[in-house]
Amino acid sequence: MCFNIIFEVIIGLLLLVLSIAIIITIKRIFVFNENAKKRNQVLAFKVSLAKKENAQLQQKTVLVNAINTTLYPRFFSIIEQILSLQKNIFDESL
Amino acid sequence: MKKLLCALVLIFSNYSHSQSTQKIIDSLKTLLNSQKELPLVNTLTELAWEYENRNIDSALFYSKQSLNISKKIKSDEAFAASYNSLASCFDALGKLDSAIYYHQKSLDLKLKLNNKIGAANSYNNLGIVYDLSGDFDVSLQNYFKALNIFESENVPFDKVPMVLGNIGIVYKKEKEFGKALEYYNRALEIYQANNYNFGEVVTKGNIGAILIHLKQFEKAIKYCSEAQEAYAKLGYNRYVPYMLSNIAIAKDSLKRYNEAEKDLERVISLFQKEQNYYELVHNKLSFAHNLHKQQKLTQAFLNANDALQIAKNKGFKEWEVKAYKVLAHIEKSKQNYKAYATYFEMYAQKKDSLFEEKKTKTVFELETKYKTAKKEKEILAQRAQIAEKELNINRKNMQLLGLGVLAIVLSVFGYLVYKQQKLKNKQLQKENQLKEALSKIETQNKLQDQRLRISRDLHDNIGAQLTFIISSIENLQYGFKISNTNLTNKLTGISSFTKDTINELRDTIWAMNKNEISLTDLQIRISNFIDKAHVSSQGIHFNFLVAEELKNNTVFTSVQGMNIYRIIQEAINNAIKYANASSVNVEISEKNNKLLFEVFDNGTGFNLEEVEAGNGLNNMKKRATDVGASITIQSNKNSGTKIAVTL
Repeated sequence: MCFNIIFEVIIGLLLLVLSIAIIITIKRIFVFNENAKKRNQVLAFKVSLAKKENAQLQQKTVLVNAINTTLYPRFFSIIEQILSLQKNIFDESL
Repeated sequence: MKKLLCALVLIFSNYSHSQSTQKIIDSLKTLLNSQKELPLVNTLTELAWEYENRNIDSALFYSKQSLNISKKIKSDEAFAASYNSLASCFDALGKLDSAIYYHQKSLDLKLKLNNKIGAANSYNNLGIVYDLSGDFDVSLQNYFKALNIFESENVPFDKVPMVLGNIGIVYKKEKEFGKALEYYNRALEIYQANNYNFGEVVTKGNIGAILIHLKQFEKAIKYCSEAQEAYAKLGYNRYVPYMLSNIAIAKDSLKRYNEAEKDLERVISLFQKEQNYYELVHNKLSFAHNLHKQQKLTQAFLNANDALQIAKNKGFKEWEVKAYKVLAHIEKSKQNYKAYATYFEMYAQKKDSLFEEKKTKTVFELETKYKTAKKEKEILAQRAQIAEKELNINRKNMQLLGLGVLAIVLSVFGYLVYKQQKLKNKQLQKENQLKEALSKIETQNKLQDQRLRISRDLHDNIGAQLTFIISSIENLQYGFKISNTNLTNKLTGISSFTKDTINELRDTIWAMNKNEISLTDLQIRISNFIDKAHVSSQGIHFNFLVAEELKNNTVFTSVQGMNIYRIIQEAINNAIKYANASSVNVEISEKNNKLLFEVFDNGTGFNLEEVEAGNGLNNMKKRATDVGASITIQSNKNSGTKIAVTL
């Protein structure tokens, strides 16, 4: 009899404790999901910003590459023309 | 006689639907196949009721069947009906203790269900059983409870007089004839008020019997005569001789011997006809007694002797004793003392024997009662043990159920913890992926930014050197008067080439300094270019038009902006250099949700098939393709040129 009562009380207490634990766990999962969603959104936003910046930098790189292909040859061509002119001037003065 | 009258009343009290029993039984049996649950229980109890006076085993069978179904459907109403039916069967079997037990159980359930009329019926039934068991006080208590309920509830009219009649029977047994008469009269009034002939005639018969006890013989004759006539009229001929017998007793008591003699002769012939030997012997003895009083000794002796023989044959020991007594008295009147002595001796002997037998029977009955009580006690103890075991089993089941629920709850908890951990891992993985991607992109961005900064420094440096070169050449040209034409041309060529280079560099730096190029930016840039072109080409009229709705929303990437600007620049330069045009138009508009950049002039034009596409046209096409735009060039000789870029 005594054993039965103790046994039933233990079962009852365990059920109570587990029920509370389940409620707390469900609440935690819910809160965790909410926070995770927010964190993911922030990170995704950062990534999208970085991608946008990357795209802009790539555009600029394209421009730089484009100008470099014409600028350096032209610069050296100008130097060459000046040197040629200098040589002509010296030749004529002699 | 008295016993039979009591039985008659009892039969009457349960008689309301017994006209054609077999037909009823058949129809009830047909119903059994189509019914379930409570209606089935009710039909089974009805069947048991119908069988009770015909075949008690069948009645008991149907009652037990109804109890089994009640156990299955677990309905208190069904249990109450089944217990009531079982109790009636035990009542009919003479097992009064069992009858009381089941009636009480039925009553408890009816009270629990607040079924007042049902409870009143149970009280009435309990009253009948206690009456039969000789416990008159308890019987009356139950009858009065039933009467109170029937009188306060709306019930069929025959319920109240039925209970009143039963109360009358108990008072009669207690020899309270005055009270018995009072209740019979109340019952009679109700029957008469409702014109219920059968009830009226039975009650009148009972009143007649009571009046004999009260020595109101004239009245008794009146009531019994009315009852006798009514029985005959209603077709219940078997009850007629009982009434006649009572009438004869009353008349005999009033010393109306001749009338009594005639009535008794008729009674004897009727009982003989019905082969009701018990009553036949009784009335023959009454007849002998009557004849004895009239000194018709021979006839009296013959009848008494006849009664004795029948009593001996049929084993009616009470009547046998009485017959010896009557015969002894007759012989005494005949002054035949020897015969008187013999009959009297036989009378005494038989009386003693009957007394012994009665005593033995009583002892046996008591013993049986004791054994029954003992057995019932044992049954009760066993029931208590079974109940305790059931309780233990229920408790164990509850504990097992509790453990089961605990296991389920534990599993749910475990699953939730596992799910939480899994979610954490998944989230961590996702976060890491995003962070990794972010850091990768940011590293790339830093690297590209660094490269661009270096390029920008280099371009600044080159730009400064080119500016210095232009300045030096212009100083040379304007500071020294150079007469050498060749030298002047060369200096002009270098200066012009350098200016073009620096302009191109400036355009690129303009585009690089912006993350996005809006249409307004592009418009200003093109406008500046057109202004400069207008300054250098005074004879050409320039028009620049931008559709109003485009200005605010449209933005381009730096490459797009740069390439579009370059295409327009190239197209204008071509118009100035080769077309000999007097008017150059630049238009930006929207067509089919696409941007349309058009440059057209009214110059000489050219044949697209004849003119080999030079660097300029090819560059334009390449730039358009690079930014995902389509380019169309329309030109014919002397009809101008139109270059359209769709983005």
